[in-house]
Amino acid sequence: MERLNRYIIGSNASIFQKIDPTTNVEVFLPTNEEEIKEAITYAREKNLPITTKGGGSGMSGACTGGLREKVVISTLRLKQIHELNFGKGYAIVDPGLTPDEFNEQIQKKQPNWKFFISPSSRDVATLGGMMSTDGGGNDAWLAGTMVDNVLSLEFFDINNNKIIVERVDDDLSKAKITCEDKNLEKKLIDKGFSLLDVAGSHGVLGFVSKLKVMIKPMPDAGKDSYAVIHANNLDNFGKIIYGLIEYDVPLTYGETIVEARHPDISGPTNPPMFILKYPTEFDEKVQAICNDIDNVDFASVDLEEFERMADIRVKMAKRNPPEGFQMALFEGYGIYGENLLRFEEIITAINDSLMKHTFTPFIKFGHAPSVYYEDNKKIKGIIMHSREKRPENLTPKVVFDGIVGCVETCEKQGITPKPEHKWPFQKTTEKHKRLIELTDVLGKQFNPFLLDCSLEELAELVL
Amino acid sequence: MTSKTEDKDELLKKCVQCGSCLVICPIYRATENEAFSPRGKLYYLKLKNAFPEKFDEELAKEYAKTIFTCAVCSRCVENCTSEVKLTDIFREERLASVDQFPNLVRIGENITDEMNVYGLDNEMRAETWTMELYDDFPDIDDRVYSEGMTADTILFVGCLMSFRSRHTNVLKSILKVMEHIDENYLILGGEEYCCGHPLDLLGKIKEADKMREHNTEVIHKVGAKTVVTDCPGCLEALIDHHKLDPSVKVLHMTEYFDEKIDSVPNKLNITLKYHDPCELFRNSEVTQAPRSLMKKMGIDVIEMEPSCCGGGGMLRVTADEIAQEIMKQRIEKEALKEEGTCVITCCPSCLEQFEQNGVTTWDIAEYLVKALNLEETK
Repeated sequence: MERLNRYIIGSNASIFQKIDPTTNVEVFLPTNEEEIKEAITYAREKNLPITTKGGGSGMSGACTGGLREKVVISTLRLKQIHELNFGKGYAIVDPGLTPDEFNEQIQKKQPNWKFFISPSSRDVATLGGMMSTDGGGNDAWLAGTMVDNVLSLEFFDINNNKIIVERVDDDLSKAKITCEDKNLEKKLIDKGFSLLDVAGSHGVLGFVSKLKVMIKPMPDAGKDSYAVIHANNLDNFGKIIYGLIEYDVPLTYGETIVEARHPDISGPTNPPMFILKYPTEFDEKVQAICNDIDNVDFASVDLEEFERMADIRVKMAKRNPPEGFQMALFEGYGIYGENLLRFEEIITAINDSLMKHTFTPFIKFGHAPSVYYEDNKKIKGIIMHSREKRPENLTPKVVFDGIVGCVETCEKQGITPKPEHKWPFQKTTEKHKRLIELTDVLGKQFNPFLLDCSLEELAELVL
Repeated sequence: MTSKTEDKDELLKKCVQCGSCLVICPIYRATENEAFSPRGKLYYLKLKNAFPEKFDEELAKEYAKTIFTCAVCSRCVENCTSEVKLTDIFREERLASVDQFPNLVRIGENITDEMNVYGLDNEMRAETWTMELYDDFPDIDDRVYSEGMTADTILFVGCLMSFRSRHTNVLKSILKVMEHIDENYLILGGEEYCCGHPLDLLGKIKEADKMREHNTEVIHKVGAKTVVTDCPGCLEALIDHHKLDPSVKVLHMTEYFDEKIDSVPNKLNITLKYHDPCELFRNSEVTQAPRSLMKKMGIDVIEMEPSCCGGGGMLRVTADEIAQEIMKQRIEKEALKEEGTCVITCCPSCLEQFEQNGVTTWDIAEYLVKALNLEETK
């Protein structure tokens, strides 16, 4: 099956699926640290870049390695839980574990505990992959993103140096670095290397082999309220997000449907709308936020209705239009601050750009209010995802023009796409510069295409 | 099979490759290899369209192995929010490569030559097990169809139950209950042909249709109003692929008994783990009847993970080691060998798969005779 594995390994959820299978020179499926090191040694000796792949559920295409020859190391057989410490609230885990698998094991021991990051793809996304993309989910407003929940991690560089990065004083920008190669250790310390650097680095720094993550007890059951909120227009929708952020309502679940051009979704949900869960003591506060905005309909719902709405929301990302097929041309629009108050203008601009490039808008949805990191600064806003109808004449040029249109619209509108989704366009960002600096120290053999690929190369990968 | 309006290319475009079919796929869980996952199998076809020159016979052989390493449990279809009928695609792919597998070719020939999967004389369908039941049913031969006989109900036994000794006790139980409710029924014996389900799994649709034409003709000749079977594979084939007159009801054994039996004299007051056979609950959507019947019998049901046991899709023929690994994982995860654990189900293939792996397992009918106090009657 070795040859077949080299073909199949390119499978992933982004639009970048047209990976020439013969560029995958070797695929490794390590089960332990020794096998990880063997894979890295193989790549080093052959002078081949290494692409790490987790569940392949990300929308960025970072796990594809682009059009270049490479060694792919899959984490799917690295699923061990090395320690579960309820007393101190942490677990030490392999990178290939999914949140669902992890929580199943946690709850076998302590039914009321969990690992809190819940991306929509929690059944297939891996913890290692979530660190590489700094994934979040519907509970990110309170639980934060992946990096907020990592206490330390270990990764290997191309020379099989194991580097341990440990958070210091609960400050993500500070870290204790440990490495047998003291010269390398010093260089990383001098660079101020921290967990924030690994978060969202898309595997360009090395192979993450172990993570120490937080686990926590769940809030007491029976003290939550569930609400569905409808706005009559997108500006009022944006005002609700703004209000929820301003009053810092401790939402334990915050999802939105911005627009949906599918009767099965728009019928029962009537977007723009919110699906929220929060402590009951904040009922009055949430209602007051809604009352302050014209034409907003707040409705308390029971758990069953909440779950029905949440199910529609989680499934809609994968649905196809009534006619034709969906594609995710450009994922993860980050909208925050005063921009939330002109939501209608922003959505209109995005849709105009899509239509101009022959992409018909299909659905838009997102976690809100939510948090994400932009150049290592925490942002509060909405991370909005978008799906378009796939044009019939889809060519690399059509994709290229469509993405450029989105990037220009984002720049003009002050939209800051989450780094997870904008790596191909982030050459001007601080994050990109930082990764270049760090790969000068750590070597440039891990997923180098992330840092130097062109949009043209990317467009060629669209299947 | 895929229709002309929704051809393979359309289905491939529908798949967004999200990966939600990975972890729920028993084959993927057993192999930990994405090449064996539904997403992997579809991605192969997508790539083949994109890079046809990079594909050759050698690779096709590797791929064929993955295509036949599928329990056809349809959990991927159930879980797919992109609405991709993956099993339809896999069936088409199976047809294209079945000739590479001599044991499967032999099964196909067994059916087309002898009308049953084992290639035995089809007249033996109602011989071995009926002989064992003479003590309980001295007139059992009168229940075996011959030209000119009519009945309200046909018990469609299926290949597995006809020829494998484990199921004699299940059949004995079913017959006892049918006699108890005074049903006017017949068994088709040598006139029962394979339902065609295994041929479907081999992608041999035309050959399957031939079997079905015969069965349909005999069922109509008998004038039966109801056809009952305990085999979910036969049930699916009888409902979906036999062109029976709409007035003929096809029921799973549990649906039939649930309709006929309102209460039992001997409530069992026991707790058992119920395994939903995949073909029964996903393909034929029979979920309530077994539970309703067991409730009437006084069985407190512990729900099991709605996952395959490894006994479907002829997996035990095509990749037995993976079928056993699936079972091994379930035994461990669901503690099926813990003292006092008993599984109850209503599919001959599932029953065998659990039992052969050392899990105490019974068919619902075997408990129904206890609940009806029919166990010791002659």
